[in-house]
Amino acid sequence: MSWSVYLPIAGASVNIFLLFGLGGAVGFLSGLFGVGGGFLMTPLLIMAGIPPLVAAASDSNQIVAASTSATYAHYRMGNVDFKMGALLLIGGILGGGLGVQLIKVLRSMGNADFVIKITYVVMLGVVGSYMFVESLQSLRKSSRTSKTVETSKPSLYLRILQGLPFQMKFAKSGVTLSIFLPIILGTFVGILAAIMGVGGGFIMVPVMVYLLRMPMHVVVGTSLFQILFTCVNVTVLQAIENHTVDMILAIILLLGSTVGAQFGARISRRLKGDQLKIILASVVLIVMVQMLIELILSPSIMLAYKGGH
Amino acid sequence: MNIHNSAQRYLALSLAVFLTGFVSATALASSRDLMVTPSEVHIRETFQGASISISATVPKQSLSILEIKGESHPLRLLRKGRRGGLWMNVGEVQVKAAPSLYLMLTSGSGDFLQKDIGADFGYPALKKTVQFSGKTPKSGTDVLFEQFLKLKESEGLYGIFPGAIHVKETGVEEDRIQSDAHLPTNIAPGTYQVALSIVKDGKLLEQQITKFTVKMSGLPQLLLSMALEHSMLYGSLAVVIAILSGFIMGFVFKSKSAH
Repeated sequence: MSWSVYLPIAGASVNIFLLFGLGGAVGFLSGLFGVGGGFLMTPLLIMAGIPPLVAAASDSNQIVAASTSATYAHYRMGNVDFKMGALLLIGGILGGGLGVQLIKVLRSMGNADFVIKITYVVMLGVVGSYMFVESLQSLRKSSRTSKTVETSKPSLYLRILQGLPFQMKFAKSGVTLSIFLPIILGTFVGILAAIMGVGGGFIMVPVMVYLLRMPMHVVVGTSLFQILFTCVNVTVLQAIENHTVDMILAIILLLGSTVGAQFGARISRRLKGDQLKIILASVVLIVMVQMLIELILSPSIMLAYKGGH
Repeated sequence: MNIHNSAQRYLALSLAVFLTGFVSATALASSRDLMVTPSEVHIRETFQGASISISATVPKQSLSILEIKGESHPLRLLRKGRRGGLWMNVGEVQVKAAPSLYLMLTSGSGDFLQKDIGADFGYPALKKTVQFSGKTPKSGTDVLFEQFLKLKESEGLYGIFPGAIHVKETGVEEDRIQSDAHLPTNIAPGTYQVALSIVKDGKLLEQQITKFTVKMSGLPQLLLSMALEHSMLYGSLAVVIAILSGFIMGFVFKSKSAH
């Protein structure tokens, strides 16, 4: 019996277990770190023979399921700050719109792809390196059982935060911030996500940890909540504008990812925040190195179909 | 009178011989009936590509060339190049008059491609028709054509297969040819042309053409038509299924962890 399934929109036949496994692995990472996993899944699907545009759009569709499953799991654990998530989402939608316009301008200037690739590598490199070094230092400090963790943080940034208008208490995250901050940061992440063509989870997580000073476990749940809405929007738009959502592909992936997300969320609860950060940083850095290699080594074929990242 | 009668008889006989020859020649041409089986290929849920069988009768000592061609649709490709030491897409290239599928199978080796007639078949013939526009390289489109072939061959949509036609002796003057061609999974629905060219002594003797269709059916057809014709409904359904699946899985795990 053949275990391959024909994907009508992708126009390709792929092994069911391969797709289920991919979904499970990326869903696990999603539940663990609060990222959608698009930056991992899309290249893996392209390697499996799915056209780039279909891979990206169908991945958004399956992220809706994985993030619903993982958000629900984190909600039960009390890890979702809905108020913060809603403000970040407003910013994300604004930023997404601005980013799409920016890409149009860059495309008319003829250097959009250069900007996209460089932004990708730089963002992955900066975010991954910073998170890796910071969590490594933090783990070393905690292993020395030092209790002076909070005192060494620079206070200037905190003073600026406290000086901003419209302060609001975010009880779940245990922080008081101006409502403008999550909106502005959400906009910034939305612009980057639109330029890079990803959900932006791997940028949003460090932004929430380092700039909004939220605890890592709440960051994971809240990030997933925000990703859920972003991906609903992307899936519907891709289906209407480009007809690139392959429902069969998405369903098989989501069967794997929803299970994987549940396991990821459980493991996430058992790990310390710094341990989570260092693993996510390693994954981000591996993807960055892989992208850099692709950019440096000459491709075997100098032509590609239009579409995708 | 006798002379006149014998002349008439000779004329009638000559006419009969000529007509018999003509009729038999016509019969020979029609007996080469090019056949493709199946004439309809269906893309269903478990489609993994398909094999088609092509057969015909050809004169002895001739070379048979089968060309399977798909319809031509304009293509938009991205050309890669180096910018600041990094490889990336440097411009869009439009491709016209390139068949969506091109498979060439021959009964002998591909040596004939080196001869004059070789220019009318295979990639040399395609090169004459395929047009590139947009951000083409300054050095010309030759490299672009080579890369285009590489791209299509990597997808299994283009290919040259010398010796893939099997010849079976069936008569004094004729042979039977048969070949199986593999259609890749990513073949697009549409009408495909199969052309048989018979070459003898470096010259094209005759050409026959037949067609087969590739259709999408069952669930793939239902989903494709829904995605194209009712895209809003399709997108919403995709989202609803995803959210429901996420919640169901969440409930399943919740109840499991409760035990």
